[in-house]
Formats: sequence, C-alpha cells, structure tokens
Amino acid sequence: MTGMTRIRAFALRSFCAAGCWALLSSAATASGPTPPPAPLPVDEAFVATASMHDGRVLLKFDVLAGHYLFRDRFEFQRGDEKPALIDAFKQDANAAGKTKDDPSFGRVKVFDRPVTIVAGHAKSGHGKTQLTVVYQGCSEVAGVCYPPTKRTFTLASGAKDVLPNELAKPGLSSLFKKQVSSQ
Amino acid sequence: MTMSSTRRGLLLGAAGVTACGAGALGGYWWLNRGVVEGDEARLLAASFESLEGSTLPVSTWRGKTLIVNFWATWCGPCREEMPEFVQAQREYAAKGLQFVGIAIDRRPAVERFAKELGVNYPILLADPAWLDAVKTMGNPQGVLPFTIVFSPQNTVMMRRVGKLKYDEIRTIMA
Repeated sequence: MTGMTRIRAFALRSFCAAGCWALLSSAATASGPTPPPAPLPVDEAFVATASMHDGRVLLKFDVLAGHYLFRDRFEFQRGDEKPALIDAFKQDANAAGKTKDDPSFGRVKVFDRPVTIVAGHAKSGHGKTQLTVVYQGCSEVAGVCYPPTKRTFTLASGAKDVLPNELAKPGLSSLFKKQVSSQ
Repeated sequence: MTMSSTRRGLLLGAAGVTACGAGALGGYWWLNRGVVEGDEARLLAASFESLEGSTLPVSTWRGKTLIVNFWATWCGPCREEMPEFVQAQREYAAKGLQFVGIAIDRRPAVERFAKELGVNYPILLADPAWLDAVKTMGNPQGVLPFTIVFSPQNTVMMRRVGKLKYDEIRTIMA
C-alpha cells in the first residue's frame, strides 16, 4: 500500500472511528455501559509517514480520532549519530500539542489529531537520510495504551510520504534476489 | 401390540452405541476441561523476578482464582484500575482470590508506583518479549492493560483487553 493510499484509508477510518465513538457514547448514555471496541493495530491508530522538504525531514502522524500520542515520549535518532533526542518540537510551533488533564499523569501535552513534526535537517550531499523515531500513545476509545513503538524511515532527497521500513513491502527485485540466493 | 425380540435388540443396541458415544465425548471433555494450552500454559509455567528480588513461578498460586494483570507505569488505564485490584484483593483473599501484577517496565518506576499505591499483591517484572507473547493469548495488538482470570482448576475464565472493573471481579467471586 502506498503512502497516499494509506492516508486515504486513514481519512475513511477516522470518519468511521469518530462515528463509532459518537454512537458508543450515546448508546452508553441511553442503555448503560457498552463494551469498548477492540484496539486497532498501532500502525493504523497512528499512521506515520516521513518526507523531505526544503532540506527538512518532516514526520507526519495521522492520529486516528479517539487516540493520542504523548508529546514528551517522542525520541528521535538520525542515522549513525549517537542516540540523542532531537528537540523537534522547539523547531515547530504547530507541534506544541494539546494539554490533556490525565487522571494518572496530570497535565500532559498530547497530539490527538494529525501533526507534522520537523525532525531535523537533511545532511548535505545526496546520500539517504535515516531517521528512527520512538513514540507512545493510547486509545481513549478502547481504554488501552500501546507500548513504545520504534519505526525507522530511510529518506532520499525529495522523498514524499515514505512509510516506515518496518511496513514497507519488499520490492520485486529484492524478492527475486532472495529467491535466487536461496537456490 | 408387542415388539419383536429382534426389534427390541436393535433398539437396545442403538441406545447402547449412543450411550457409549456420549460417554466417550463426556470423558474427553472431562479429561481436557482443565488443560490450558499455548502461551497461556507457558504463562502458568513461567517464573518472573519479584520486586523483592526472588524468582517466583506463577504456579505458586495454583489452586486459587488467579487474576494475572499485565501492566506498566507508562499506561494510564493500568494505573487507574489498580486501586480496585488492591480493594478486591483485600475483600476476596479469604475466598481464594489472588492477584498477580506482571509489570512490563523498568524496576525503579514499578517500585515507586507500587509503594505509592500500597499494592497488597505480588508484583513481578517481565521482559518486553511478553508483550509479543500476550498477542496469542487474546490480546492481538499487545496493548495494556491486559488481564487473564484463571479458575482454581487452571482454566481460563476471562480475558480482558482494557480495564477490569470491580463489579466484574465481584461476579467472578460470587
């Protein structure tokens, strides 16, 4: 599935999730508690894609309705650089997040809607940039939290809506090579 | 009207075969009723490090109504349900209820939270690989909290992805 197809699927799923949530809320009010919906796979709850634009590495999270990511639990690592937190949020005023009054953690900053984060700048030259991000979030609709998730992106100059390496399907050529090497 | 002896014999034979079949099926069910298979069996056979530093097997609590709760301090809903577990452990311990919390988390954070809350049941520490293991126990996304209730005979009474409520524990123990 390409990045754009995933985004379209995300939009449709967001609409359905919002509808289901509204329906469940009204049903709960009308006829007592309703069992929560089953949690979605983490890559459907938080659709992560990366792009390179004007030398900047942009990381987009399409957060499905009824879900949220903790802003302060993001960790970034670029290429071979030593593990270090890139303070992506200081570079982008739009990535401030929303304050959530969490019963367990008090006032925390969360992203409960799609957000784009500037996760650093591309290195000079034409090589590929690798970005690893760790994030953690919860599903309010299902009443559960996802464990910290680690995803790595490999980005060429001008790359757009690139899926994490963990989700990218192997190309035909690599499948062919695998087939040949196993014989 | 009298029934011929051949016909009576056939009927008795059929009844006998049916009874044998039912008996065999019943026997199979009886023998297998307490068997937990797969990763749940692996869980019951596993040992974990306790907060006190010793290694405890889950089989320590065999024969009790065992509520195994997977949790972590970074999980809000996990923290929210635990005060009710403390209350239920106090309320139903005499009736054979035993909670066991399995934290998939770092020891210092777990110790701090358990102390803050005054947890009155064993807290064990598990490797993050258990987040994959729970995927085959009824929690396909490996999310938390996740709870499995075992009967004293080691059968699975309930699996819960998300919070387990006090009322549900009361129903289990009724």
